[in-house]
Amino acid sequence: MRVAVVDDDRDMVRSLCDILELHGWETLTSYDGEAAVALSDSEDVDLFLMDVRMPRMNGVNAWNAIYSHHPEARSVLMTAYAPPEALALAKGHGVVRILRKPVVIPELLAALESARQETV
Amino acid sequence: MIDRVSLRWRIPGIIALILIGAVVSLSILAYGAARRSAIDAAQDRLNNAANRIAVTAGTGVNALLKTANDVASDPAVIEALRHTGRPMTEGARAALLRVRTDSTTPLKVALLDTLGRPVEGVTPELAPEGPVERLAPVDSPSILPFRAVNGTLEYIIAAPVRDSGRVIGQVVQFRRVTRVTTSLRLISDLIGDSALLLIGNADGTAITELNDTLRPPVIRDSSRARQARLSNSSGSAAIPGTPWAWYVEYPESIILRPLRTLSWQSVVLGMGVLVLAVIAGALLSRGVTESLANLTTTAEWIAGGDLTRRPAGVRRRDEIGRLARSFSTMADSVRDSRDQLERRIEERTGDLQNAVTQLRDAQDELVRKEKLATIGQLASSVGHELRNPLGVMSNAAYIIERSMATTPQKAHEYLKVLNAQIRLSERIVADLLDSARNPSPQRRRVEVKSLLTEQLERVTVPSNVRVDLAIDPGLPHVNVDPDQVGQILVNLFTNATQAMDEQPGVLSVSARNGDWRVRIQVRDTGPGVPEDLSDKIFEPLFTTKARGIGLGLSVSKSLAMANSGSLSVANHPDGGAVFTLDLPVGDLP
Repeated sequence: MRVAVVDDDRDMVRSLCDILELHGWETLTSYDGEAAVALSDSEDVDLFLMDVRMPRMNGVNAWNAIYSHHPEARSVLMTAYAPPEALALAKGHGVVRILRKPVVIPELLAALESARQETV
Repeated sequence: MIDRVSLRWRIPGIIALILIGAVVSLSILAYGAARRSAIDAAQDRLNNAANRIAVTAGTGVNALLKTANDVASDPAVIEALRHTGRPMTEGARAALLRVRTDSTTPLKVALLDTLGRPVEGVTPELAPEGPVERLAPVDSPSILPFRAVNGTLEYIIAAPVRDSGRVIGQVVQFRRVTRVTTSLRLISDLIGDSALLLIGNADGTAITELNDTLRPPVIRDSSRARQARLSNSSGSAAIPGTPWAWYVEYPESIILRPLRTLSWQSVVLGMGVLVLAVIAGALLSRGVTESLANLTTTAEWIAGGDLTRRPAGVRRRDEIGRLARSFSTMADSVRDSRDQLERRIEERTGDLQNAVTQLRDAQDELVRKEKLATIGQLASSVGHELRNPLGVMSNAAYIIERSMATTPQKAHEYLKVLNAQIRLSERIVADLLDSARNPSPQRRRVEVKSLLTEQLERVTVPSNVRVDLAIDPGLPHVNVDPDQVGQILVNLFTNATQAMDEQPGVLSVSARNGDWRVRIQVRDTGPGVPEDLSDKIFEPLFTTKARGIGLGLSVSKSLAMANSGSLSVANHPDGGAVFTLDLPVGDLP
């Protein structure tokens, strides 16, 4: 299973990738929404772990764009605040879970695990 | 004041002028009329007197004529003329001497024949003044007009001598005018001692005065007579049976004396009336002008704001009283209006104060809410910012824990990451603290070059960004707090680096000598600052970055100003933003 980690904070992306690799995930990186959309077209990605607040294109818009082309893909969104409407919006749009930042690693791993089961 | 004085005296002045005019013109008219009537009356009286004495004189003259006729009828006289050439008889001489009366003695008595020749034999007693001139014969006893002879007045009485009805000669008496005591006394009794009695011919010639009884009568020539008539009133009366007339003259000065006295009394009286009129006028006009002055003063008081003042004289029944009453009414209504206005102003002021209070409360409420909002925004901003490094640190700690035994290399790497994230967090917290309190700068002389290089070392510049440092040689020291200016510089360097967004670029830092300033410019090759945001980027909590709480530039600007410097931003024509920091030089001349 390949997971793309998308965040504008490079240290965050790097540390998340290292953690996911420790748990057997294959990782790809991207640093903004547009790059993530491009990545979804050029690479075969099963899961997107995406920050919501990002320059150029935010995580929600980027995910909508990706999902319209790749309805089999799933995502886990990360945000400092989780407004209810964001959750409502994500319902039925391939968003498996929305995580509050700072991300608690067991929660992250659990979310990714359930996403993996959805895509199988 | 001038108006009041002039009005005060103008009215009596006008009254005085009118009175003077009236008195003078009336006086002139009255004097003329009185003078005419006085003179006319005098004329009448004088004529009357002249007539009275003329009658008396006529009686005397008739007596003289009768005597002359008696003499002419004497047989001895007739006889003497019948035989001309013979010496006069004694009888005839005696008859001729009868013409001599008690009072008046003729100068000469003569007997003339028809040719006017005197009969011889007239004794010197009869003709003391020498020979007798010839005279034309007369038809009846006559008195001839006066003649002036050697300064005296002479007249002739002639009576024809008839013989059987035929005129054969005449008896002539030459007489001189002397005293007329009786007539004078009569005149004096009639019209007083000042009257002049004159006698002369009725045609106005040979007039003489008769008053001076001591001197012989003096003939008046015609011019003197005219002159005398100018200053004297005169009356005249023909003496019956003679060609003579009485003239009675009276000096006008005496006739007009009572009139003149009256005139003077009138003038004195007139002056008295005038003075009284002026005083009365002054009093009257003072009554008016004082009321007007009182009104004026009251008006001035009212104009000055004392609305309680009222004019005097409201009880008067005249126009001034009316004026004072209407003035009083006006002042009342002005006062009422003002009071009403003041009440309204007070009401409105109260309303306004209430409104202001409410507004202030609302404003306070707003400010409080704004503050809360700002605090909320700041808290949210800072919290959000801190979450990232905390998340990374948390991740790093997880990785270090997991990889310490197996891959110590990785653990070591993540310790560095941990360190960097801790420094980032510190900066966020430092910015927040700096914005909350802005300590007063500890200024001293600082070398610009070392300041720049020290701060550049503190910043992590990506390897694809070239640093271009250009410092003018011989640059003066600056007078600043090195820590605060260092913080500004780190901010500017960090911003520039972030603006280039990990793209290859150049960070240009220059320092040049200006006008008592050292100008430090920091330029990047990033996208630059949008024009409409060049002022806004210095406002607190404003940021264009996805990350950052928007306090860095705001704090930097405050610090620059606290150090008597300035901080501004512009876009470079070749692209990228240029931040300009001006600092005061420390080497004062």
